[in-house]
Amino acid sequence: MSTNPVVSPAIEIRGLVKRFGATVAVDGLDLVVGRDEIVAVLGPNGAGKTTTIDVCSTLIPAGGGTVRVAGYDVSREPAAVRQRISVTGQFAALDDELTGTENVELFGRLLGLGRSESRRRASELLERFSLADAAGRRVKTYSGGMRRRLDLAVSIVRPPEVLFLDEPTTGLDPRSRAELWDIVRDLNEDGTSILLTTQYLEEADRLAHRIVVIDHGRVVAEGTAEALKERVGGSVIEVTPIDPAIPGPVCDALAGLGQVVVEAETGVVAVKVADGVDVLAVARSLDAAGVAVSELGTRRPSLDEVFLALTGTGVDA
Amino acid sequence: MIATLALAGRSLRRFRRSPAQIVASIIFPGLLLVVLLACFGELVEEFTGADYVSRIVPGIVAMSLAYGAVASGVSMLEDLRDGFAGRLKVMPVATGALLAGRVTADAVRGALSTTVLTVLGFAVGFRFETGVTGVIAFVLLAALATTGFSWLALSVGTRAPGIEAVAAPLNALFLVCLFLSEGFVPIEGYPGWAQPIVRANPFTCIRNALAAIAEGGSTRQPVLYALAWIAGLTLVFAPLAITGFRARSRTTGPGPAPTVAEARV
Amino acid sequence: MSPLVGTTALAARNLTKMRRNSASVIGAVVFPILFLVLFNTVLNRAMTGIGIDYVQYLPPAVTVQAMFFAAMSTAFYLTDDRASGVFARCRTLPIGRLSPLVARALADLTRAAVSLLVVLVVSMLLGFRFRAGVLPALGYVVLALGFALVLILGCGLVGLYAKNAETAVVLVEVPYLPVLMLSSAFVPADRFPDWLEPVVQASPITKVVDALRALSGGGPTASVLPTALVWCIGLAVVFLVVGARRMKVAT
Repeated sequence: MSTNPVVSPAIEIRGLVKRFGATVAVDGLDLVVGRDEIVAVLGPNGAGKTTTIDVCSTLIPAGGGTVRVAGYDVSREPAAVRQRISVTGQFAALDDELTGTENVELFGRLLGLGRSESRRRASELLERFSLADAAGRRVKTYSGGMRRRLDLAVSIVRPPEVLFLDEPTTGLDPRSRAELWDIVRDLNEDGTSILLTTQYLEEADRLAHRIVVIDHGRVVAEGTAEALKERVGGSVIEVTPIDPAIPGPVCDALAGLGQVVVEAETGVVAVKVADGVDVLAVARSLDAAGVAVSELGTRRPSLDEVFLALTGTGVDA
Repeated sequence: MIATLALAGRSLRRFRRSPAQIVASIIFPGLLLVVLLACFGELVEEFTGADYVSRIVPGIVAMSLAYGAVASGVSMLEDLRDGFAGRLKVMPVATGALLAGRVTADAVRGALSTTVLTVLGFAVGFRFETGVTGVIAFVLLAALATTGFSWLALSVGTRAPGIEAVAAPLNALFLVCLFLSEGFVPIEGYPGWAQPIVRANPFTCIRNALAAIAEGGSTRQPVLYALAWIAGLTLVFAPLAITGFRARSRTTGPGPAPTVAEARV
Repeated sequence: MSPLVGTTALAARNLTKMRRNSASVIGAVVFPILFLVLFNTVLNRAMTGIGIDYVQYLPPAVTVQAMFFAAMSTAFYLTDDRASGVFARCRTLPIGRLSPLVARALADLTRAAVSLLVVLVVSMLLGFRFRAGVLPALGYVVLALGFALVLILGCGLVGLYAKNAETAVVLVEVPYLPVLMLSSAFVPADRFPDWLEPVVQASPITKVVDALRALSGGGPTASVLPTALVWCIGLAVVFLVVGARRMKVAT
């Protein structure tokens, strides 16, 4: 029943549906990840990202639709799927009481590598993930970033055909995040197809060949980061009033351009405008209105704004 | 098979590194052995005319096997809760490997704690009339008995909502069973109504089998009873543990961890 | 906010937490019943054989055991609160510095009282009687709860030193049974091996249990009660002093 794995996509999801009681977690999702592709699935909490990965990794059964991973149907041939995939979850399920080395060795042996091969891979991977110094310490002493790196190392003890990364850098500091991204890119270059879920547009932007935006269990947009921002259209003009506590005059002056939003923490007044609005003209009109500003700038829409446009809700909904 | 052994090795490593488990399996029973001997030795010997050490050493061994199993049940709950079991599920690892690994590790742990307690027993007067073969049979039966208790503890551990729901009922159950067994007092010491309970009690059967192996003489009947109990426990609780495990291993994330205070009875 | 208000508020919180923790309730109520029934079942014949009325002999032992149980939770609730930061947070509130500790002690003392009630009721159902009259019976209750308080202070000390709740559990539960058994609680002191008898005789548990037996059974209290009281007060003072010093260092 399996198609030629060389030709078939890494992941093929057609019309996936999954319910938990009365909640519909995934509602007719279509998604394809080609061989050697990195696809990022972007969506707020509750959008169905983790559920999708759980179904693809054979952890839970699909409610409806078909899912094929590495050429095999997840419901008909789960064992074949498991042979070819790896999953790194948000929670880095490792054995806290064992050392870093012991963890990697254990998973190596579980994947069928012999004892000496596992040991070799362990020292190789720990070196590569900058964990060599901590290798002999128990995982419960590791920092969050170290745990994630170890988690990823464990996932690739035997390089998989398809790798699922579920929010791999949530909560990490920028440096750890960048390190992880390098490792992910290297993996992809070595031939692993990757499905990555994230809340960070920047992460999706940097890593993925393609981004899929989902909300309420279905796809709402697809494309590169630039394409998505283009699709949402426009740019955002940001004005910092001279006195951040008094945004009023600035708001009034900009009101004609579009919906004005004041960022609570910084007092920056932002307004989304269509492409082509002349920033200089805005500056002149502010000047004419006698409104003093300390900063004026323009930028592309942020993730929150992209989401707002595409899904009607913010990322933190 | 390899997966089972690898996971068994992991469980044993965790045991070695957990002072609480070592205390529960080895140190506390050892302490209790000595204290019980001091406290009740004279009294019971006067009552029965028999040597108290030969009564309580097998009884303490049975106790350590059971309480060690409780720790195993708790560990399994933690593995399920923390997503470790979930992670194994999406790997090409046999479904039963984690459970089987744990039971195997428990058998090894049982053999280990039995050996230590036997040495301690030897120091306070316990003797094997049956020589080296007796010792080996003793340890083997103990290891086998552990597996029965393990399945019981695991069936609870895979289904309980939290640590407290595993440790408390199991500890209480084993406590009552230990009291109502021949581990500390012979059956004649019990009032009439309690005697049938004592006779049927698995701890009695296991303890008597162990004692018979050490003493020599007629071992067939007590050992058969013990084996029957072990088989019974396995047949009833292994399926429960397996189905419970299957149902609960479908997560990759942890839940909120209960505090130890909530785990204590 | 006066320290009294803060203490009562915290005590109420502790009690609510315990009431909701069904394991805690079971421990306070079920275990005493269990031990009374089990020890009676197991040892009655043997004890009657050496001429002891176990129905009268046992309840003081289970009383002390129940007091131990009530006190043991002090150790890890305290460690748990320390580890989770509740303790530190309490220090920033306008309540007395000792409030959390007093509140903890009050809650556990309440639990001890509940256990004591259960022990006495069930013992009486099994045939136990206060043969010496009302005043000694009251003395029994006071001594039992006083001893509970001493144990609470001791376990509280463990709670202030232990690194984590798991350690606290081990530190408290491992010694409790040997300490309890190396006393006249379950078996008369002269039944111990000769070399152990002095240890058993000297144990404060022995003194307290003997005093409880005298107060309930009608025996001579003059010889045992003062020693028991001295032990209780002495231990309490030691625990308080060390505890106070520890509080200064730790907080």
